[in-house]
Amino acid sequence: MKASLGALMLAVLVLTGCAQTQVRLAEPEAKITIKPERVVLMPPEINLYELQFGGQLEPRADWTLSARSLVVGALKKRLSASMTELTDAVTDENPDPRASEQQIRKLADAVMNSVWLYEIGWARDSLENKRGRFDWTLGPGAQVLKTRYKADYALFLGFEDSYTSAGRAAGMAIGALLGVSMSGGVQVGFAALVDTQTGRVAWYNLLIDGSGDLRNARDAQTAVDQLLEKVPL
Amino acid sequence: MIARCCGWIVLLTLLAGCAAGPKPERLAAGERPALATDVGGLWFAMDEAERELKSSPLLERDPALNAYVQGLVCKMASEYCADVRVYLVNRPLFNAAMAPNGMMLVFTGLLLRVENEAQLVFVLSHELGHFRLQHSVQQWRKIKNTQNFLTAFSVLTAGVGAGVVGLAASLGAYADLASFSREQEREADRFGFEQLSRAGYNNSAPGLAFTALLREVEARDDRGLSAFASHPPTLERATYLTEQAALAPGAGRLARARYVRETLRFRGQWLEDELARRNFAQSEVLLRRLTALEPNAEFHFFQGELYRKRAAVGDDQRAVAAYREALRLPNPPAGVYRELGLLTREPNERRQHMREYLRREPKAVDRELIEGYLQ
Repeated sequence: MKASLGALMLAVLVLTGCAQTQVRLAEPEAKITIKPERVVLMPPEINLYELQFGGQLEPRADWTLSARSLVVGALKKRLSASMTELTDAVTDENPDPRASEQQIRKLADAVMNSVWLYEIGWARDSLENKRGRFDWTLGPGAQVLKTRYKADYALFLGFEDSYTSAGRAAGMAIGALLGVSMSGGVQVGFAALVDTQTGRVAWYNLLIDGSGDLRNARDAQTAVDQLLEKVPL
Repeated sequence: MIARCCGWIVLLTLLAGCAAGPKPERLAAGERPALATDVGGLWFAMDEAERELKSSPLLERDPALNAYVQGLVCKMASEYCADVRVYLVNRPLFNAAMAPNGMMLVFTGLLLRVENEAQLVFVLSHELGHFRLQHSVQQWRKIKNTQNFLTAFSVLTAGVGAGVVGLAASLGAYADLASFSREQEREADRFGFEQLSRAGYNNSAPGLAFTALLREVEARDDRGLSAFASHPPTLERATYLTEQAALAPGAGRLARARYVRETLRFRGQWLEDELARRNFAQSEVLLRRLTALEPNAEFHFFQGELYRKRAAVGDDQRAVAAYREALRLPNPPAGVYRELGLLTREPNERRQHMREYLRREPKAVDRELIEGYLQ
């Protein structure tokens, strides 16, 4: 999810000041009937980087750790009014490669990456059998989540966020004077609701924001609210 | 126009200069870098990668083999023992890699090619050198400062989250990332060499190993995957290591017997993976070297397998000759009888080999097929 999302998005994106969201649904909106009693929140995939002068993304451990707790807090706040009960997935590490929950998480990573790539990213509309229909699925293996957490749906969520370093900011300013455009940091996030019975990705949203910030509680809340704006929970 | 262009370049250079960081400080044993630093960020990203790696199907998890390699690392790392964790990766490539956080990858294609413990210890110490000297951090800073757009680390840290496929890809990216600078490689070689001699191993082992590997590299077959894609042994390194050994000739141990004892039961699988690269020119050189070192039925069997799989003109006869050679030595693998049963023309001999195959491998998956031939 992370690499392609961040790096490719930078290429696709021409400096936007505003946030954009792109929702995809497995069923037409009128027919959507998700009102689950219980949703399991999968450990969010969040990574924050500092965008270096030369365009490299340097991982920032301190920002990442803080953003992970801010996003989970914002998420709980956003869904507190909902009738849905939210339960946290256990993040135990099972080194057995056949452990099904771990594998479902890895599969979800791959599927979410494909959803972005083939629905919204640069390979959009390149798959004939996906054109005009949103039918991505993790398959019935997703039932391990139903069994373990007694949840109807699983909420997968991820953010890839980069911030302009001082060197890059200076480069951008100089570039602007010289008529050369250099992009700044960008926030890319996704959220997806997966039916734990069938594995189907029922709802998916992608957020791209050139000015979002996950380093403080207020902006983290804004980002989460935007991402979950139309979530059928 | 000229003023404008040059001003731009000067400014860029100045900015790049500002970003230049100090050489990374060496860490004390057990020390972790502060979170809010570039080193801390790289460690953090690699910790995540390591967590993913732990549940990877690519890992060789055999406890005894892991304990053996980790034990050697520990001995060489002394007080840094607890800082380095070894992962054996089931891939037929000659490769080992060291991440800044102490995660060391050793590919099984390397274990197959290493002839004795001294050679393995040299490779492990070389990687420890990269760790102790913080080469990947140095490299990252250099990449940042020289605006090298081959952003190895972001490729790596990003690929790691991309699931199973992504993990395989990121291991590849990791191997690419491990292309340290020439100077760093030499520094790590020096470090490895000193450690090796100090631990009482024969210091001619590394030079001999790299010279042998060079022959394999030269035999490259472009149709198959090269075992040396990421960092090939160069003549320069082979020469350097040979010269170093000549400077201080010692009579240290090679510890071949122990190495063979610890790795013997994996060799069949590693050779099977080796042939799956379908780079038969390289595998042929390798098998010839291994056979010269220790003639045994298993190596001859895999030589036969190589010819059978390559199927060039005359390879069927070569395969039969190799299988027959295997039969002359103790403990031929059951597969020798199967292949001879299928390849021999003389009907009585055919049946005899097939029966022998089924006797030795009563639960063979192709039992019914072979029984069909026998009727």
